[in-house]
Amino acid sequence: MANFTRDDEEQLIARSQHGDINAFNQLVLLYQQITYNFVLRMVGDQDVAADLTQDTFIAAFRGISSFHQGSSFRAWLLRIASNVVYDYWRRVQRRPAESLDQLTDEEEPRGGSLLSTLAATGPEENPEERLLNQELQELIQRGLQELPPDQRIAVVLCDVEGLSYEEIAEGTQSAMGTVRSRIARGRARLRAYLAQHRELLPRQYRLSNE
Amino acid sequence: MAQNQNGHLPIEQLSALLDKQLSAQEVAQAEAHLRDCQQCQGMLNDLSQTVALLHALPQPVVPRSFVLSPEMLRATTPSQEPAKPVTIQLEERRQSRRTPKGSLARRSVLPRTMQVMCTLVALLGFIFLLSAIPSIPRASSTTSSASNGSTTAAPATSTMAPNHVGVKPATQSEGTRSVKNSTATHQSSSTSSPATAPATMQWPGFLDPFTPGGRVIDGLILLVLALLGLVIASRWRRGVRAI
Repeated sequence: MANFTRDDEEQLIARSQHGDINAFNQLVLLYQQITYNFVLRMVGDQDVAADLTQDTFIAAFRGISSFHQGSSFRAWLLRIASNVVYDYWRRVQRRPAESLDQLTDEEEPRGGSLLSTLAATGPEENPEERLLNQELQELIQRGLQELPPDQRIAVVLCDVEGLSYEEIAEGTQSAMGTVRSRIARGRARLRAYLAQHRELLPRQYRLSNE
Repeated sequence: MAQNQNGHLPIEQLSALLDKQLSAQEVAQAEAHLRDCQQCQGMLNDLSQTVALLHALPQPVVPRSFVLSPEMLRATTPSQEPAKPVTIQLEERRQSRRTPKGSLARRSVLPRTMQVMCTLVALLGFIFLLSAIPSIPRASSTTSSASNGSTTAAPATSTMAPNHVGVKPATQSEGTRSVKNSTATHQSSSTSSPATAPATMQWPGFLDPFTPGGRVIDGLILLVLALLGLVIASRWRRGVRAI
């Protein structure tokens, strides 16, 4: 995407809006990584994610005339992806588990830094530069699966895809306050999940006795 | 300052602080609180670790190119398009397990119907037997009342009861007066045969339902047939359930 300027992208979108499938396919190549990543974090299954990603692009091409130039194409695309994912959940009638529902924010233990050793062993170490091992990745994915759909979408868009609050609000068609609250509650739940399962974490990530 | 009822910073405040979504004033207030509050410091740290973990998730490798082909667009609506993912397959398997169950349920209706019919036949045989009893000895009040009880119960249990079963309790309950209604000329009035039964019909001697002995044999035959039918039906049902 680095070689692409916003003008290029707008041109491609404009050509796509006139039915140019080749132009749209260039957008596909630009955004397929982001879209697939998002969908995979939402559904947690690679085959399903691949199919839903394809559906997202088909739906996006069909609906591209509704895209308004000047707004975020990424947010628009991820909104379509969210809808495709919601449709999928409805189809398989497999709503995300609500097992953590009883854990409201207020009830969560606030004592100490439960996850202090989870992501980094020292403050000087940047966790983003370290590849998480497979076990920890799976644990995080399972934690995401536990989140209610709205919170999961908000957290994944914010913390995995790196969208701004404004883009998330645009993409999910919600108010900023709602976005802020969903992100916060989603993060808090995920934190509680990880803390509950810290015994499953690799040794170097385990919590010290506090 | 926006603190929750425990006097701590709400999670939302801490989360927004991480994303620099608080106003300068809110940041100053939050930082002032955080300086003195271990708990909120811990929670802020946990939230930031959680975010760091999410950031650290590696980008998955895209399994294939999602470039569109004209064929894809010609295909049906995208919502119907998605190929069978694992979970859908599971769902289908669950459903396919359900569908034969549905047809099994339909199939198990037959043996059940057979059981009902056999029960009715057995009841009929029983009635025949009982009806013969009073005429062998002289009818005692206890046996006749017992037979009354069982026969009046019979029509209530089934709507498919043959005609004469329905007729019988009426004639029996009227006791000896039923002779008047009956075309039967037999002595045993309390067990008079149905009006519909043609008196002229030819019966082999030992099966003649109009003699007490014949009724005993008829009743026994019916009972045996019914029991046989019940055994077959229950085996059938068990067989169906075992599939």
